[in-house]
Amino acid sequence: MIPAVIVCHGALGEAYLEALAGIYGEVTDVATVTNEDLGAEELESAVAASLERLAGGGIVFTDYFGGSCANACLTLLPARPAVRLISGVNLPVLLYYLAHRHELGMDELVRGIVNRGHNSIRELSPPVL
Amino acid sequence: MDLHLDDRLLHGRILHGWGRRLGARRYVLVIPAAGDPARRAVYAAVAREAGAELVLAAADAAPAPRAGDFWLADGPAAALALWRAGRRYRRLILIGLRRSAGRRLGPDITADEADLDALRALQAAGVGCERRRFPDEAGEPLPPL
Repeated sequence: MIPAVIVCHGALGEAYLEALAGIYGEVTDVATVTNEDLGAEELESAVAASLERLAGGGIVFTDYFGGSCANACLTLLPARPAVRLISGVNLPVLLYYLAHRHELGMDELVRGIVNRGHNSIRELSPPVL
Repeated sequence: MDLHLDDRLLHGRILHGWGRRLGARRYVLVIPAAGDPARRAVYAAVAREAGAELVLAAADAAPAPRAGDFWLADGPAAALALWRAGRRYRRLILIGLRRSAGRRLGPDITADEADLDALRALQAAGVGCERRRFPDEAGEPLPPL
């Protein structure tokens, strides 16, 4: 099973966990980190501490490239080759991750997550009655 | 020119809240010469994604300002170093300064003793210091330091 950490602005990470618990059921082995009130170095320290649980390999989800959360993760990534970083986290992506993290290897899981993310944003047409 | 201050340097609020609204074409980050190489690489990638040029410069090696610049320091010490290196700026705009302990000067602005000393020195030199989260908000003077 591949564990994960969600690093997001404000209360987003916890809100995702709460929503996932309502949709998917109990979520284990997913931690969250917020940037709330943290300076750049403090945020890096908080992310580094959470990455300890991914020492054997894992996925970090962050909200968007260019934000302080992604910046902190990117800064720490070179020293952690077993950790993969995915930006643009949303509920479809997290649901895909939960559904497949037990059965897929890391490369395949990451590919699937990214594809799911790409497909998750679309314009929906009203149903034909 | 104005000098902006945010300890997170190039991040979401700077890129989306300030840079895009002001039409920033070049970000000039005033940072220590021996700044962390991993962070430098991240800022370079972020600026590239934003379609802007990036200059990382020590206070005594900052480039000449030009139109479309957005100048940014990571703390009052860097702002003071830039001033002492002879680079003059009209005002210092504090956007974010998130120290774990210190004196709260406004939303997202907590200054430690070293920060306060540097801000006092800048004010004594005649630099107008204000806090402002976004460019379309009115700047507010700092409380007495």
